[in-house]
Amino acid sequence: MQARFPILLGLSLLALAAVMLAGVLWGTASLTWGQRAAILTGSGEAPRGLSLIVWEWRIPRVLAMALIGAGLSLAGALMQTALRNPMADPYLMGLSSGASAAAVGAIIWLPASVTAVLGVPLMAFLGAGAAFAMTLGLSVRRGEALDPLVVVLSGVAISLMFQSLTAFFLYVGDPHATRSALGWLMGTGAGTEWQEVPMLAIGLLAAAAAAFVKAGDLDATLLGDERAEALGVDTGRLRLLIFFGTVILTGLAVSVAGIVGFIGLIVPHMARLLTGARHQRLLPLSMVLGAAILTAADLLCRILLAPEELPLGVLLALFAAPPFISILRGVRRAA
Amino acid sequence: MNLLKTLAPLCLIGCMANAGPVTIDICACSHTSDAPPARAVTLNQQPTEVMLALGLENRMAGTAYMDDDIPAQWRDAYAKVPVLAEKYPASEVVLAAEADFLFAGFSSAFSEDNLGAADKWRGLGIGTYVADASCKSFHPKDRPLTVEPILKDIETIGKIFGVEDRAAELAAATMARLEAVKGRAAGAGQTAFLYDSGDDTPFSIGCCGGPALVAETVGLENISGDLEGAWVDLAWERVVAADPDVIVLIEADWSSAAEKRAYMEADPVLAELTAVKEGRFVTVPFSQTLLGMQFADGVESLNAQLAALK
Amino acid sequence: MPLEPILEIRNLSVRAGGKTRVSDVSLSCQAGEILGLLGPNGAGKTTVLRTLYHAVRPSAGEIRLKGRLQQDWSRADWSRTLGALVQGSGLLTGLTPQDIVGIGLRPLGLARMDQQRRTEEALSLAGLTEKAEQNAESLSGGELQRCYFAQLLARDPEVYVLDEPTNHLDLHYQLVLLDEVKRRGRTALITLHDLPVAKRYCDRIAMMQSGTVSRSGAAADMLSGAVISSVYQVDAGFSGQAFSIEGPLLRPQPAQMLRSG
Repeated sequence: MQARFPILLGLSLLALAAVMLAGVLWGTASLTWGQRAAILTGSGEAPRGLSLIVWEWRIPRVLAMALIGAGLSLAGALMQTALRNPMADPYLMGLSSGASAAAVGAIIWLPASVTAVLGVPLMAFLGAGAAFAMTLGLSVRRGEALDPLVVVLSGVAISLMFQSLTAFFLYVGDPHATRSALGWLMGTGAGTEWQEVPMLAIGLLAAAAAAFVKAGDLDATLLGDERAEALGVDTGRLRLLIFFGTVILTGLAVSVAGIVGFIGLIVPHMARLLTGARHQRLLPLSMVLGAAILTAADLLCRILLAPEELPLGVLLALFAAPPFISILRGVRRAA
Repeated sequence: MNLLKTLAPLCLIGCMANAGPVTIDICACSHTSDAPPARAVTLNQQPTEVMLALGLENRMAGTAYMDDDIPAQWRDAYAKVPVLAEKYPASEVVLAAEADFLFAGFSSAFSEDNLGAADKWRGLGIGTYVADASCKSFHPKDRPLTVEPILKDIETIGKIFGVEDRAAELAAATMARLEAVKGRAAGAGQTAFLYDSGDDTPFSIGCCGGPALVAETVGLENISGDLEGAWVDLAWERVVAADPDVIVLIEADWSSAAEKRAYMEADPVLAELTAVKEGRFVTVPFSQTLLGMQFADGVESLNAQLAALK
Repeated sequence: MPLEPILEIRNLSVRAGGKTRVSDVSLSCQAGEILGLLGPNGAGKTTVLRTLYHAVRPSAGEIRLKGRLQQDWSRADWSRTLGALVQGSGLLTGLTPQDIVGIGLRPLGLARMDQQRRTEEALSLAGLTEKAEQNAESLSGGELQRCYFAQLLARDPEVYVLDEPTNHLDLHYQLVLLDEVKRRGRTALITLHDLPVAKRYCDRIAMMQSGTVSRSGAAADMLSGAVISSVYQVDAGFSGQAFSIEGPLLRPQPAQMLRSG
């Protein structure tokens, strides 16, 4: 076990680097190897349009996908620990439905001028935040620690409310606008700009650093609230910190790429199977695997039906089904 | 195709059971009584315009689900007919208006959650007809449309309402206009990107819908003409790789031409496209891309804009 | 002059869920002393213990460890000095007994060699050497209890707080593990149901009933027929010679090497 982890992490990092490179070299437009070399080395021969595709579109997109994949996996692992629930994912506290309702509402109802100024990403982030605040509000009781089960149930209730709002928007919306909204709901890397990348990077770095510092406390939380308290962990405060971290990571992810499902749920399980549940190893491995998987999925979405693009949700759901079923089996066996 | 051949006789038999003029249409089989309908309800833009173009406003009981404003020449006539609903009306509303004929622009009008199956209406003695261009059974996704459907609609409606002369006149005039444009196609030899909506991924056209035909009629070569279907989600990279000569912006309520142009000009990569740098944009309203009465207007306007660009 | 008690609870009251669970309880332990907390179910014993490891906040009263009030201690320092064996289940997927002990040792910031040695010894004591790297989810109730006991022994705090430590354990392990606590000479506060076990280990015993301490004193005095009958509401003929576990404390076996690789 001691020797295995570095090898595991090393291989995963290699895979991530390879997939990111592939994401830059391949896409909906075909480039010859000569063009690729010219573009990447910045030689003057590179055709302008194609060079721009790589530097202004593909590279930020690949970076964003990696950062989002890592961020959602990190959030998923943290939520599974905070709620001691193997089925937890980053969207549990109403985050995805709040973001969806806000984004779909913005796409369908707001006049284009308003949307251009505020931007769908910002509205999605605010929507996620609003849903989170409401879920927290429902679950907090003065003088008592947050009960993980109450949090989950509150999240479900808030989610249902926002989901019906989203459904309403979709129903009354113009069919063309609806199509646009549906694309957002299924998640996509398209349209990623350079300015979104630093934001994702800072969010991820901050959350990852904080989580790493607290790795010991996170481990203790797995053993049960009372046992963790006996080891000196303030479980109430830790849980709140995890929730805030999740809102930031998930809010940023959703604002850039829409609803990207399954990564936050499945990847931590994969990592746990490979390296165990100690967070010092679980978190880094989850992040690297999540980054690699999402980047790979995005690449496939771009090349499978080129020049048409598939939304991320389509492929992710397909890939996630088998591991999801085996996780479910594992949960039932343990029960 | 074999399925069609099997269905045709079945529908024929069903239709023949009625007396009076019979119209055969596999898409939405209609039956009419001896007299032409007097209280028709039109659903969607094209049917409304066909009826008004044939001067049949006095035989209309209501309209619904318009996409755009009615062209100026028919505005007074349109005002005479009650508007039943903004989208598809509920079945009860249609019956309350005492309709005796339903003319829809899209076959989705007769789906479960809209007006229900055409059979149901025929059972109530109300005839139905769907614009020819929208019959998916007639027009598979991988075969480009021609202007046939427009003429077919005019002819069929003319027959149903007993105004064959007016119909023939209208059909001939329309054909003449289209031939004229084809004769001096201003887009000949140029490639074009048609942009309907969307920003991260543009909603564009495939080989075979109405807008593709508009482009073809004015001589333009569609950069996504190798893709099946009427509408497609095209990746921007394809547009950049193709570097089209002209960009055709579709003007619609849900996405204005100005918005789309602004988006392209603001994007660092798209701003470098030849057509964007040189401002080679032309605009066509959405309803003029459908195979209906405004098609000829669309084609003419587009041709004129292209000529002006040169 | 009497030594200051290492652990002192004064006038502790706890109200939770609208009910008073603990009312005006005072206890104290001298260093090296083992205090047993006995009484019927629902008497409030566990609640008293829970205040000691921050699981529930006292409504009134003071808790002092080594002379300092609980609120004057940082959580980290407190849990290093006072360790607890508690009830409760967790999510153990992906964890091994070795991990569980390691999770307890990590906050102590020990050197790697030291951690490893303590882990091996503790697991050996708990009879879990063979299963050290097995999935903790596959452990039985008894094995899990031994695992957590091992975690506590590895941490070796100055004060041991044990909430029903004999749960799920057969007699062999009850003795092995508690003998170790006694052998180390640590201060301990233990809740127990088992009277012979109480007699073997406790120096003093406090009886709790309905949230208060009804009586306390030397173990021998408390474990008399009259007291037991009264506290547990049992009308039985206890004699002072009830089954006793005699004999010297067991010596720990030399730690077996963990399977390498």
